[in-house]
Amino acid sequence: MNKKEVIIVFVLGFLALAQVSFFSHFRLFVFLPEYINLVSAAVFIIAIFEKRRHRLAWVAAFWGGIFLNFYSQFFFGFWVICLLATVGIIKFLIKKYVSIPSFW
Amino acid sequence: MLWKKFEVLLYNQFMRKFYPGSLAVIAFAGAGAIMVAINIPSVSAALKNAAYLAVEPLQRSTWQAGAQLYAAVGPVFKSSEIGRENERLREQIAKLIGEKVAIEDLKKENELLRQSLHLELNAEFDLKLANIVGKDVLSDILLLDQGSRNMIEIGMPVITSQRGLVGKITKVYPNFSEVTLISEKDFSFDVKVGDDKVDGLVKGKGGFVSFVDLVPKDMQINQNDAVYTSGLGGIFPAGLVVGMIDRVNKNDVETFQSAAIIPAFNANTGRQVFIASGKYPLGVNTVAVPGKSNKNE
Repeated sequence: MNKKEVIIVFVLGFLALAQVSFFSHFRLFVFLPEYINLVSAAVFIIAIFEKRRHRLAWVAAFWGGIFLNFYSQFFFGFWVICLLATVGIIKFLIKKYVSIPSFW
Repeated sequence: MLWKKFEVLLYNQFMRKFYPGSLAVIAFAGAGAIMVAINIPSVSAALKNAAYLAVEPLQRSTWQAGAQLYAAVGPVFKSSEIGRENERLREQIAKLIGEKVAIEDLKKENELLRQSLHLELNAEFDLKLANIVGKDVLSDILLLDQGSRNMIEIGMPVITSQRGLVGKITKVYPNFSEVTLISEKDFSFDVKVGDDKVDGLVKGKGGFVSFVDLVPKDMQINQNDAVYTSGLGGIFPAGLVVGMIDRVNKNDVETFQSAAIIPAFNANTGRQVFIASGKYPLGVNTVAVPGKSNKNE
């Protein structure tokens, strides 16, 4: 893992911790489904805005999924699979149909 | 066709730098095997317990900071409800003042009866104080800092200091336990409503919301009626306060009426709860009714 990936893993760990403790008291994304939380939102954003050939979104999805699994009733790996699949779909759609500026 | 493209994309994005050729298949198989191994209950419990232990001090303080902030700013976002709540509380105060006088008399009578029957005034519950340290990502499940090492077991009821019902212990780790709140989806148990002890069933809706259902339409339930556990089904002991009736939903089409509940436990502001470990009398009546039997219902 490179430096950027290590930083993103720490940030996602912190976001997961904040989500299940501090932000449990507040509904952050009121009009969105419940599975949209700080970690999944961060993964979506990275997947959308990173350069096509970069793999940061995959790393973020993997580690974000692991962190969320610790605070989930679903089987271990559920969030990892969900987020990896989401990143795959986002990347596929962007590659195939969308052209937007990337900031990473 | 679509899958093929997705496969190529996956390979380009993730596999190319790590695994040449067919090794990708082996990697997937390995990941699957690891996932199965991690999902063995004892392994996942040990993993989760270790992770919770590592972050518990930080998590507990962030939970408490969140609860504090919610208590301070939460009402600002609910200004429309404050007026209604104020009115309801005024009505309650007037009602309670009247009841207090009656209770004082009953208390004296009860003490005399207890003395005459040589009843022990044992504590009804063996209570263990637990701090809330976190909440499940999707469910109404809270993480508490008491586990099997503190003699906590699955099925124990969790209450507040005012006998308000919080939920039930559903998972226990060595140092932590999970309490499923009464507002969790598909959670249900029998209750009594109001002074007339109308039967009903509390159901969870998720998002800290629960309601009373299956109340016969011909029975009268009103706003501010107390909802408390009946002890039926053995899930919870009788007499624990679930909350108060908020709005009654009654229509001609439905066979039963339902009602929203203002819960006795507010998960947004709660920091500590009690786990009723050890002995607690299932089906005990908390309110002594003079002239009536006090047996389990």
